[in-house]
Amino acid sequence: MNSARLTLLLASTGLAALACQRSSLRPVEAPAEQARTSAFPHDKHEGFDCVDCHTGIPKATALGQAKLPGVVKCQECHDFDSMNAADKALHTPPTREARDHALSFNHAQHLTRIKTKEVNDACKTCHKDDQIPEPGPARDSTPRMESCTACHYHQVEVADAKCQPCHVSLRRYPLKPIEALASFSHEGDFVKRHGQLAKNSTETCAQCHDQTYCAKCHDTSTVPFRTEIEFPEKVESDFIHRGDYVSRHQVEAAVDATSCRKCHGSYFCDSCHTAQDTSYRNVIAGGSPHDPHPPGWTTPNSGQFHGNAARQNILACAGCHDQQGPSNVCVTCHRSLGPGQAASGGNPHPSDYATHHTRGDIQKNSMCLSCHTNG
Amino acid sequence: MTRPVRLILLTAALCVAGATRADTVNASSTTILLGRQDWRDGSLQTAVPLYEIIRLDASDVATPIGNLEIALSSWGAADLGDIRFWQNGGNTNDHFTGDVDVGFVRGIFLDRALTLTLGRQTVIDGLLPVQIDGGSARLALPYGFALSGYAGAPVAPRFMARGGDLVTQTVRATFASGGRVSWNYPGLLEAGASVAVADDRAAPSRRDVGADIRVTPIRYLQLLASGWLSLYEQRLGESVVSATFYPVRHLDFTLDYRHVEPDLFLPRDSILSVFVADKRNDVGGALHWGPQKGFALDGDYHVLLQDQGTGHWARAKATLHPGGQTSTVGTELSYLKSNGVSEINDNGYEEVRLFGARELMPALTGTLDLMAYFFNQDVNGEPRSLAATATLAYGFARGWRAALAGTAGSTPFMERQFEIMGKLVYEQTYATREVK
Repeated sequence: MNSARLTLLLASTGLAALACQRSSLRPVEAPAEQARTSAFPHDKHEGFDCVDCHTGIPKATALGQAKLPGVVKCQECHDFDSMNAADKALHTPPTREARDHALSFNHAQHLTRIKTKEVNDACKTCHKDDQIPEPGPARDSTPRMESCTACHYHQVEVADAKCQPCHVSLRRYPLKPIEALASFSHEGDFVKRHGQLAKNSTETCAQCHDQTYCAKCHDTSTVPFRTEIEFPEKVESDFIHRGDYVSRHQVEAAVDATSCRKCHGSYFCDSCHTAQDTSYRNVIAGGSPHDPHPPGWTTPNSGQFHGNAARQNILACAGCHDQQGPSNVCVTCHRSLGPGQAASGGNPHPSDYATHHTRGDIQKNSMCLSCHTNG
Repeated sequence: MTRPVRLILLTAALCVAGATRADTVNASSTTILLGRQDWRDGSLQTAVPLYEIIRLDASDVATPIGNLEIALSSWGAADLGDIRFWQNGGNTNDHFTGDVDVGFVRGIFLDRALTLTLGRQTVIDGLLPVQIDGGSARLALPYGFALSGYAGAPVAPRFMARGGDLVTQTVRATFASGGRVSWNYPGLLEAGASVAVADDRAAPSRRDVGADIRVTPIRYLQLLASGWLSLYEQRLGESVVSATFYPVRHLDFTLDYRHVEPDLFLPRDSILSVFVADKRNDVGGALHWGPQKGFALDGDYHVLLQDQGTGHWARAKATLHPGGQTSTVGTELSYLKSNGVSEINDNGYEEVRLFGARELMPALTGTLDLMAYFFNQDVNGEPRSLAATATLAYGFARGWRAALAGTAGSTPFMERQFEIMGKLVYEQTYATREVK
């Protein structure tokens, strides 16, 4: 990528940021609802039922459907003709901008199921007295989640982190899994376990994480560096490649190279090994690289024979020898010239290989022709 | 104009257009300046790369046909010193580099039942994850059933010594596709069956089928099992079974068993894939215990069972917050021992690590991290690796953070190692909707 392309990228991103700033988007400060005040004194209207004014609520199937009562509702009792301008203004209920909601809630469905003698008691099941907005100090007016869990036994959904459809989206909240989310608690060996969980729980992960978050670690073909470089201040995190990983990578790869392989292809090893002049690619390029193999590598029964080492950890071999195709180093010794012909280098296949593969397979995979040159 | 650049521009344009109509926009910009020594074939070079990393995700962008999600994660870098050696495992001969990690548009239709994603994305569909340039879809069906599938070109690294090879993760392919059918019984189980096919031009790279299940029979127990089979070799590539218990608050422990056949992690058109049918197993468990507020113990141990011998992998970690969340002290000990037939596969280490963090003043936090590894056999002629990292992190305004880090050490490949890092981060979530 040249400098012009880099400039283009940064300019595009700047435009996106500008678009955010100029639009109606606003930064989210806190995950909780915003406390609000009200011009309407609910406490002075206690003789009425809530639904006398909030007439749309019993039929509302979604938040936002039922509008705030209009001035006409006030005029049913208050004689506006005899009021002065100041009193008229005082008795005119405020208007509120239409809003979208981050929760799904069906008032109509709930109200039919809550059985109380007084209709107001049905409302107070969720809307507690100290949550009703009044003139004066702002109050948290949205019922808390305890109101839901007082009736709904959501333990199953909570345990599964199935937040939708009640919560429309959790991505705006800087939340960590709560204690009740034991299965998804990000503690202990979660770094190791999360891959297994994600196999059938990507929808759950996506409740809070978008894919750009996962990309920091998982898009190993395209990310600029390993995650630990970006977050040295996160000393508590269980990063896999923390510190001097270069020195210990060969030790861990010998124990479990499949863990490496889940993110890194052969190129990843070989690029570095070539630069360190230890790869077979350096031989192909006409060089004389450092030989990383121990003495006796090509001597059978030496204790260091490459065939035994390869059978134990073939992925380590792939780190340097998996890219050359027909010119692969293995082919220089292991070669079969066809049925009835002498083979060189011994048969490198595992003992039961022929039970899974017939000679016909050779023609189906061009790689086989590297050794079986005559089919 | 190359494909990645076109992808950057397209996605950035969509982000500009979409951000203004999105419900929620997560945006971050990270600027990092590194100064370090690269060890290259016995000589040291001074690399000073400057990175700019942009991440943007606009969700619930309202359109007449449905809601969209637009995601972009991208970076650019300039080498102010020597061209750095470590470039995601490869070399580059260019002072300017950059790439797109994620760049997709996702449409959400039919009351969130149908999801279509187009662009650069990572697909985790029951089997091993794969990063593709292509499309994926998920359809939620009645009674908890769901269907998903993907098709596209696996993303190959752009920066490497040889160039042009298409190996990424376990795939070397020009085209990959797959799918999964799953069933979810809320609160009890989720089960799925998957298939993955990949071809390297005309040659087969992968032909795998897999199955997975997660069962939560009671609140205190979660059972996981998954595995995949190579149809090409008719052998099991990997299978995992685990049980996690949550007997009381702040205590959980896991018992697990894993079987792998490493050669099946190679593409089927790799010549090395036909030499071995080795099998490995590991059995063990992990524990997390928080006996009191501000104190946690973690530990895990696995015994590694191979035809050639037995290995061990163990770790213990204690973390204490003596002054609440504003201070942290911790220690970590680990032990690793393989048991190979050749010295190239036979090594191990013991690790001792001490770490701590403290809020020095409001919004200013300092950390210290000391690590020592002692190898069973010398690595590059050296028996140990020592490293110390100190950082200062300052949150100076809403959404803004700055950090300074310095590392010094002595490792098998560098007798004296010094690195510095400066970082400036802006991270903010924007929303139009008010939480009601």
